Amino acid sequence: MATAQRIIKNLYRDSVSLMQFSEKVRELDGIRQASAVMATENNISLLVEAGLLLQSVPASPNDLMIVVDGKDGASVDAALEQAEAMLKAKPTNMGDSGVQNMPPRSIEMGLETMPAANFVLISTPGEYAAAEARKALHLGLHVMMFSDNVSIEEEISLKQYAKNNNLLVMGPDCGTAIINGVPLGFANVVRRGDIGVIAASGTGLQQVTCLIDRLGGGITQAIGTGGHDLKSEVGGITMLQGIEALAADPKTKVILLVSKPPSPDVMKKVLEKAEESGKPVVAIFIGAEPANVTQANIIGVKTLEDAAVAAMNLSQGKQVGVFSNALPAEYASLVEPSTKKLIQTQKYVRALFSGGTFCYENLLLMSELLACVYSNIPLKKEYKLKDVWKSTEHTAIDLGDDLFTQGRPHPMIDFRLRNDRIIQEAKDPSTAVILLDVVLGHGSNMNPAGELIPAILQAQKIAAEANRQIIFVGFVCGTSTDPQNLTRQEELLRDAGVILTKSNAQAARLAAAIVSGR
Amino acid sequence: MQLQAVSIGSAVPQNNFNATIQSLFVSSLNLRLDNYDKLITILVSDHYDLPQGIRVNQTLPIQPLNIGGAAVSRGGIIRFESSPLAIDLRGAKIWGGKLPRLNGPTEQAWSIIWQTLNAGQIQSKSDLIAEELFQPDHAPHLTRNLSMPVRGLIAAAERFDPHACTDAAKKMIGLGPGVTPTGDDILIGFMAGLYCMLGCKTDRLNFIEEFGKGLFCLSKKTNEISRTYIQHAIKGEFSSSMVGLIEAIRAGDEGRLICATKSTMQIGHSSGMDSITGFLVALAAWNSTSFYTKYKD
Repeated sequence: MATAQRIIKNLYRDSVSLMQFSEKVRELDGIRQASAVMATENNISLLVEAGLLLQSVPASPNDLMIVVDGKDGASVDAALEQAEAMLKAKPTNMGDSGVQNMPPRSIEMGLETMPAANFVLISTPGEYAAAEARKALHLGLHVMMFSDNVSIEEEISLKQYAKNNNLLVMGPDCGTAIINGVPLGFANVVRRGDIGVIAASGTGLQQVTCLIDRLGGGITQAIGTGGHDLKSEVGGITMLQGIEALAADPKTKVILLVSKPPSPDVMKKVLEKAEESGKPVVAIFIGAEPANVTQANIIGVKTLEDAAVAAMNLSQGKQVGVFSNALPAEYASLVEPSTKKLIQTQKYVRALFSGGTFCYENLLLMSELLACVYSNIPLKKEYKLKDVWKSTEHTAIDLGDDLFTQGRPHPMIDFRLRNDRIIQEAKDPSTAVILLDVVLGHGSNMNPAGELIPAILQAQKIAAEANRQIIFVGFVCGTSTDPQNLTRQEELLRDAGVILTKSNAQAARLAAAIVSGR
Repeated sequence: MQLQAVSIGSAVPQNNFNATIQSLFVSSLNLRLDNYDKLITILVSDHYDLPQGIRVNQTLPIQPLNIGGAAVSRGGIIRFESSPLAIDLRGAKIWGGKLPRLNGPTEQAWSIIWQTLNAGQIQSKSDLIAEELFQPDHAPHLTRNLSMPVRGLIAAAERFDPHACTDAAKKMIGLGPGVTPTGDDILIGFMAGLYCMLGCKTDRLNFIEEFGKGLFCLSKKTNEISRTYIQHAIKGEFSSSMVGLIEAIRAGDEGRLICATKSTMQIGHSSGMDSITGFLVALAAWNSTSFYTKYKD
């Protein structure tokens, strides 16, 4: 190991820039730690105590000190060169012309620079979000609240105010939306078309919009409601407003609703409003019996994939069609060859999700085919994992759950936790299938396949050393116009031995069929 | 392009001056006044005033400014070398930065601010959690290094010992990440807490004056920007957010107090939170609270 430091005279950078800078340097090859602080006596002493500096060095408190710890001298020297270049670069908002545009510090200042804006996206710590949303509403702006941890009372108050003033509040905890073709939060680049989506589920919205895109269709709007909107207390205010808006939108031919089952009173209101729209409506209330939803112009379906297909068929003026629980032939043919690769001890599916709705849908579908499936978000309390860090028999884990994301980025961005879990599952002789979701789009990791493949290969190596083979099943939720390059991501995963299906539902059924067929 | 300053701090010269650009940030820049060891700050904000600040509330389309470039103020308008940008100081209101006094009991307010502060620090994953200063065993390295000196500040203020207080501050000055390091921000908040409880008590005034002298000497051990804030604090001059917090305590309205605390906490990356930490430390010393007593035991 090697450490080195560099002092840059009279250089000031704000704290956020320095934190981002330290992160960037840590990502460089061969670097373990990096720190950039003002070179005061006390900071130098702190670095010496922490072992990042071997001894005190002469410096002035007006200087910036960069300290790097890496595997060898060459790595740290290269990192210091890059670090100094990064720090000396002009602030990133200063364009080539040298004109620096100070970013707005408030909604009012934002409006001064963009007076025609009618929409605000709020992503602050939850305790500040409601106040900002209220300011925006008072300025006559629609609101998307990415923030969570907003109380239900605040949510009701904001949504009531918005409704009374003909405005829309998407959220709190609304991670995904596509408005006028612009992806917001975690969202994909989806073709424009004639299907309008309203969803209380982020990854549910991503799955249906991506499948619609892949089927050749497109969307008008994809409105997120936030996860609490369909609770009895909130009464589905945003979803009802969304249905009204899409009903009035001449470009929207078909309306698609996505949610876990709402409270019964809210479900009644939503279905009444959907019926009033007079347009064909597809409703996927994941876990609800489709027959209990289907009525008049409303088609209830069981899976997110069925919802996308039904909406596409209706948009093209076709019959909705009949949906089957059976595994399509293209995947059924893969079951036997996969089963033959397993040895006696390999019995279980281990499904490791970054998307919460994917995990929930997987649990519903796998539970129909397998005896019991354990989870951190189980369908029945008796199947709750006693220790979420260790799988029990068939297990499906939502790694986006708060339990796993405390102090670390979401697993759609940061793959370390899931990769560690893949290795852990590979060491378990009872693991037969590892199932993975791979989510593309804005907000997600720019190379998810690249992140996952080293762990997949390592897992296969571990299994091979114990004379086992693990079957990897997955699906990619994305479109060909997403920034990650869908085709390339799928190629990389297939080359690493992952069997890819086109949807979460088919991945769940295939994984269950492989372990059932033994 | 000429912008109108909304407010200027009392430390900003009213007459002509020459200056150079000392540092440039995304939403502020610092000017070093020629012939003075003094910085003034031009900042974009819709509400935040500083004793050394010139506040504008519009996006600043600054033409190619460079560190070391010249700025001159003539007739109340600041102009910059190689840039059409000008800032008109005439007619801007003056921010004095003097703190209101706290006379009554503060124990309830202290607890509310303390709880709001710690919750905010935990949620924002701040480098420093105030409570950990008093339970440092499993705290990060920075907190452990600050823990003893912060306790030292309290003990020294309780017995009006400015020399012991300066010794404690010596271990904090310049310590921590950022342009205004955590240790400095705590000391600035500490000074605010002392000043607002000054009242007419001679022992307190003597303590502040003597500790101020010690802190002034120590301020040379931190960087020029942070030193500016500390030197204003020594003179009893603070930001509008600190004044707002003390006014909220005086008003005795819990909702307003929480709002003012959160507003102050939003200043900088962690500067606001660190300043409140120091402020509460001073209040604990001179207006002893039962909440703090448990840590002393």
